[in-house]
Amino acid sequence: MKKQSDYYLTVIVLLISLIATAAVYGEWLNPLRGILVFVFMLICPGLAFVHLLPGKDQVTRFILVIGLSLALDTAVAQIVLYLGRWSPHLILLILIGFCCLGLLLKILAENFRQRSVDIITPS
Amino acid sequence: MSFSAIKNKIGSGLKPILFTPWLLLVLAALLWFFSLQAFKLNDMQDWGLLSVFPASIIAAYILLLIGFASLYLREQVSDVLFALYILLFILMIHGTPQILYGTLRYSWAWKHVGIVDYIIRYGTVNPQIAILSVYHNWPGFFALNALFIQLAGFSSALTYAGWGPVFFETLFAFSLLALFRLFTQDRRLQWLGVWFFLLTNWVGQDYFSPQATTYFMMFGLLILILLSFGSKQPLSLTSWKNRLSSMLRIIKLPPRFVERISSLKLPIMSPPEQGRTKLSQLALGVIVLLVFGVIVSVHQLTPFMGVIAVVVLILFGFIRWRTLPIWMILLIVLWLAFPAKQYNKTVEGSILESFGKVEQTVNSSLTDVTSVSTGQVVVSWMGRGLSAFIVLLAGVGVFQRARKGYLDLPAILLATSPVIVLFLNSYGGEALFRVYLFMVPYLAFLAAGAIIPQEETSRNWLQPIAVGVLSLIMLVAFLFAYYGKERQYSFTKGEVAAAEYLYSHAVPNSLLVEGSRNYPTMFSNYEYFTYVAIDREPADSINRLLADPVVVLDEWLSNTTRYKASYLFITRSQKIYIDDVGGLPVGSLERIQSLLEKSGKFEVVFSNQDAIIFAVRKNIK
Repeated sequence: MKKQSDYYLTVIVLLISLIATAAVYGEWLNPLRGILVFVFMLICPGLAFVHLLPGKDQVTRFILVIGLSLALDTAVAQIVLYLGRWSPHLILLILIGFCCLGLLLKILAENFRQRSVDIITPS
Repeated sequence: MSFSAIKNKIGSGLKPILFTPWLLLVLAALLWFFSLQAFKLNDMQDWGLLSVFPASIIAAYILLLIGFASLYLREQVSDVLFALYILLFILMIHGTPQILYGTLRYSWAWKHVGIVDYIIRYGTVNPQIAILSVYHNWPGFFALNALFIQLAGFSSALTYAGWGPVFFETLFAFSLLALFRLFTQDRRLQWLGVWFFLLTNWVGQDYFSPQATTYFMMFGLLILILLSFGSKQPLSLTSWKNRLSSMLRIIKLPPRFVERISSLKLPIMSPPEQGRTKLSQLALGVIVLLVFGVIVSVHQLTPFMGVIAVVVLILFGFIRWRTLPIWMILLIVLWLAFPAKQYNKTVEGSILESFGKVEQTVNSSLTDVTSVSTGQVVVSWMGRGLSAFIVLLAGVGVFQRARKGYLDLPAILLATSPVIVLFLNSYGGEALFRVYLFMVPYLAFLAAGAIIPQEETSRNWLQPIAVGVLSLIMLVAFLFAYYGKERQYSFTKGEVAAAEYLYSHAVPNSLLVEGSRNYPTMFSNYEYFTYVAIDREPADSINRLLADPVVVLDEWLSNTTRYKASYLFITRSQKIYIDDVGGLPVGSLERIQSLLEKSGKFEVVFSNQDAIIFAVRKNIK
């Protein structure tokens, strides 16, 4: 069950990121483009790192995901702003990079955990 | 069949239908929705939106209160139902103004839109800028919104900023629910705490603003810290009890009292999860510092509230990461020393000046009821009364819970610790409101304990009645306190059209004379202007202007060597602000406008029923 929800989570993050990027670069019409960007910025960066977050309660995890997403969005936007290289497209790509990094970390952690279990469990 | 038997049968048949919370929820929603067409905004009186409330919307609120209270009659209530009541309440309270006006409320929110506009146009901030420099020194929220607008392809933040209160209140409500889940396992108590919070958070800090963003982030951060670095139970419990017992013995309280306090149960905070590696614990530490770092870069006051909360929780053994405050203070100092260096230099004198002056800080936050209109006196007292009521109810809650053997120490600590800020800074006359803002979530939780003191109690009919009656009392005061200044806070489409004309036609280095600052202001090309608000001028300057407005304003607006263009802007909301709050004698702006129109010296550049823009004839090319 856990594996399945992990799989869905990865798909959701990747799918929203992909569609939001298509909406931005394809200059889709509003309100669809606005909604997609909103959903991406509100949940994706945090959701990619959800495996690192504590708590088992769904409401708690959802709130932490939103909080972390907004923090990552703001941090990246500000760093680019202070570097004098303001470019929303660049920031979007960095955020997608963070999403991929989060998912990669999750996969690596899962593999590491699985390998540990394989070593410990006698065949 | 006897009459009483028939009556009982009908009664038992109708009861489940009439008191079905789902039915009441749907009825309240429908009644609210159809009531929106019955508002006559032009008739709004001194005490704000409440003065034009149609009877049907009051009925909708009452249905909602009855429905919510009836949830406390039931053995089993789903979280979904509680959540729907909370969401509908937020929509009814915070969505109504946006639906009715169709324009952004609060003049400050318009300024925030202006900073976002600045970042979009220049791709940078200017910490040394003369006007609104504070926002350029804490630009996180504005950079976030500039990013969103440009990615989404919107023209400005005005597209969505009006829905800020609904968005933020929803985030507040559910983040508090998550936080209260650490304080108690009783779901009914958690939801009632959230409900009371919504009914008492009247200070209006939920609009499109940096403080609303960091307020939510602060709750998230507290949850994260408590879940990741909360003390291992029951070690901290025992040590805390020993500490408290020895403290109480030192001040020589009766041994029975000390014994009783020591026997109270503390909340079962979630213990750290099993199997967490050092690496994942390190990652959590980095996330905590990242989120706090962002809070530091977004708002000036919230980080200090965060440090105070964390220090107090560490002192009482609820957080085991004891060096965390040092890291937090380091982040604040780094921000003040580098990105916010310019602003810091200009205000450090005033910060030091207000340090320790609690009485002055409190007085500067309170409305001077002698200088405002009668309606505003009522509004002001309703806000104060509601604040006092929730404090009192929280006290009763603490007492009631203690009688049943519980001590909600984390909530008590978090509810009282913000008071420390009153000793530190007046925060531009807003410190008291901000202190209340940071206290009210925990006060609301403690107040809910007055009705539900025990976690495992059988349902009784007194609980829903108490929820209903207390909610009604709070709602009445809340509607006055929250909606009471809507005449000033709301802007008509006519005012917005005039402001849009002014800001889109202005050239850099223009002079803008305003009746007051209360209008849709600074939202676009804001740095083009030098602003002169008549009501903020020195007393002798105001007296001179009121004695002969035509001559004085002609003089002000004719300075062509200094400014490329000069305008005088008077709006409906400026007049209301002056008449309600003071600053100029009642009717001053109306009189100035009338004299200027008759003088023939001024050209009306733009006008409609709610706003007028003047320029001196000879300056118009």
